Amino acid sequence: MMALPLAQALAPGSYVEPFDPVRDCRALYKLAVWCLRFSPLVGLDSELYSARKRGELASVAALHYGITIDLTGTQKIHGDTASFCKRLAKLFKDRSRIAVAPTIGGAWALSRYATTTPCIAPSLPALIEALKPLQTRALRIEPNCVERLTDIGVYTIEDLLELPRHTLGQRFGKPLLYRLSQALGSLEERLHTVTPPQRYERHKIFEPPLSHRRAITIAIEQLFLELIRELRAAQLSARSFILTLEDTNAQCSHKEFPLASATNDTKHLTAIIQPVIDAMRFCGEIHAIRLQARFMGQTTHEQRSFTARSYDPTEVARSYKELLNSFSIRIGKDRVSIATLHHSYVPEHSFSYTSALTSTASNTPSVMEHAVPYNLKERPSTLFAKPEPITTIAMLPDKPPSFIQWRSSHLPIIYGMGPERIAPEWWRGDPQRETFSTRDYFTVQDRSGRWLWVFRDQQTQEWFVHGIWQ
Amino acid sequence: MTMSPRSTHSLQDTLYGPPEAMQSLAMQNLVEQGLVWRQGDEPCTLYRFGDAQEGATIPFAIPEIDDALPQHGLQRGALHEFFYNDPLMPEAFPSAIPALLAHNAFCGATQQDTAWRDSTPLRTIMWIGRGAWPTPYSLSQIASATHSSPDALIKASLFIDPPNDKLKLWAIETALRSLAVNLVVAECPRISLTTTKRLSLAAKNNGTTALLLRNIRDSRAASCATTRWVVTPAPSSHETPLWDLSLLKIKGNTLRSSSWLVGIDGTSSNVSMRVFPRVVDRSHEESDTLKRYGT
Repeated sequence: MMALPLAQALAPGSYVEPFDPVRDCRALYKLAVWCLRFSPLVGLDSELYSARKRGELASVAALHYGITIDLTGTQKIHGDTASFCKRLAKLFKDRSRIAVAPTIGGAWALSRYATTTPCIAPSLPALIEALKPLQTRALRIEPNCVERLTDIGVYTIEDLLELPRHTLGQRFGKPLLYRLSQALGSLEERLHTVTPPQRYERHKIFEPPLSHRRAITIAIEQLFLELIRELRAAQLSARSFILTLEDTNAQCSHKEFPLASATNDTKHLTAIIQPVIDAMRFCGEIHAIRLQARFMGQTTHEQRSFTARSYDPTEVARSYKELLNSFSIRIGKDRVSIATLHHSYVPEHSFSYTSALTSTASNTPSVMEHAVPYNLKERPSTLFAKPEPITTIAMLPDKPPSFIQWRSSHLPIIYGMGPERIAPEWWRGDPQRETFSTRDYFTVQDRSGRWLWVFRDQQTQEWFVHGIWQ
Repeated sequence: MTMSPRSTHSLQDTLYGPPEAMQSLAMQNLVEQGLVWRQGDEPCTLYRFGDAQEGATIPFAIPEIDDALPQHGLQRGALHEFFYNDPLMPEAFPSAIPALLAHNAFCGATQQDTAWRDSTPLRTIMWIGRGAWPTPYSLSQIASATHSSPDALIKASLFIDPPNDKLKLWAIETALRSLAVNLVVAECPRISLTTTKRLSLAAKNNGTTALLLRNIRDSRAASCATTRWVVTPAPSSHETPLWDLSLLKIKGNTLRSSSWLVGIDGTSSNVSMRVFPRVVDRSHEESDTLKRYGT
């Protein structure tokens, strides 16, 4: 054990991350689920499993963070074991230790303590030979048991195997006997397998591939209906659907259907998805269609009234959600936005737009109440997204211009107010100060009655129109 | 004269006054649609119960204009068109007056209105098309000017930016057909009479109002809008921007006094809009000529 500052002094520039066993365990579980592609049975260490049940994950040694894959009967898919191990090691970028053995305990010992990786023991006698030179702690036994064994001069498994087996239980406790028998295959061991998360997915393969547009749309609609029916049966709702179309050249095209709120309402979903499907373009012949529901949520059954009334709050809330859903699917989720006011004196920083879908009730911005209280006479009703450059004739430096040229027309100014100086907000930090220099704003009226909000950049002395009262 | 059955009489009594005015069910339908009315009567429209609660109009909260309109405001459940007349900015739309109307539609112009607002569910104001989006702080300015919560209007606003004209139109219609929408303020592409009819039916069936901001080049195109307004910037001698708000058309009514000079009222502590007297002020022109001749 070493203090962190000392460790950092020894290894300067090292990366420090707080120890979070729960997150580690979760990540390992995810990796194990990913490994399900190699075999239907993938497990984690029983120590990790039981510690997690007890809630003592922090006490588990790092060696127990491993994944066990049951390769029985998968030779037909993966080929011979050695080449499979090589491919697996390559997938993990050669940062893994891999061993193959007939027993779980044997594979555990070989993968942790064998000198070579991948270490392959194809049969039981080969496993025993491979285990012999390993230290006794490779048998997954308690440290004090290892100490007692070293006290009598037993260092390796070979030494241990020479001791009479029937005395081991009494001398060193039953766990040693269990672990030894499990490693040698005389006692069977249970694999704590991981279960993949339930995925709501439908797919259809077409042979011969579909080329007619009508057939494709019907197939997609059918998939939607089936998936929604499945969701409804499980009392779940989805916030997003992903449609994947695979053509005959194995090229996939994806289409996401983002929703503002989770739903499994068949009528509503088909109503909003139908026009999007109709507008979709299909290239080539479609070989397979896959539809996946994501971001699931539990639904409670809600009763709908016969007659929708505009004064019924639940009906209004529901139709608001449905409206957002249809807008987000048809127009795009980034194009449906809400506005937020910020406490800033710089006009373009005093408000922002965010997508109405990402900012749900949970993270509604709370900066509204600090908006700078300007009135409609001080700030224009329309602010341009980008100030438009103008050329002016200004008689005096601190007076409004008497003549401006904007959008290739000459506007004589008959009235002007100002200047109102807006400086970069020093408390905001550097980015704003660098991109923004002090401006002098003037409110001017031209001869035809247009009221413009113009400013002069103090740094470059250039003039811009920033807004208009219209 | 064919008389309607007795039961209908009582309904007519409560809705339209004396039964003899209603000659037949067909006539009653026409009256309901606001197409036919007796001389001296205001055109009347049947509202669903829910909408009647909300008040059938959106007032300007400017007495001169409201008094000139047959229902003291813009009729709800109908289309209203706004044009902006500025040759320098042909693609621009009015923003201050729609924002004022949105506030009145949402928050109510009077104390009495705010009472029913609290009792009815929150309904959204849709701003469709980037040209129709007001600068967000102008919404809070108008709201705070009328002593309502400054962020109420912004919180109720949803800003939609459809990528093309077809989707813009679809968005307008979808919003008009939704129960959750109070008012649609939309940048309107060039549309035909049939399309306006379709939109106005959607608005009428759902009780939703639409303020369509249209390009000035479409100002002579036929449409089913109930009212049609042109906003023109007007020279002002006051220290406030003025707009010439003229009423081009009002459905089912003769055109009365149809033009007002509207501006931001800055005399009192709170800022709102009022009508300014139409006085031709030539002082600046004189000074201009003086300048020109170098005196």
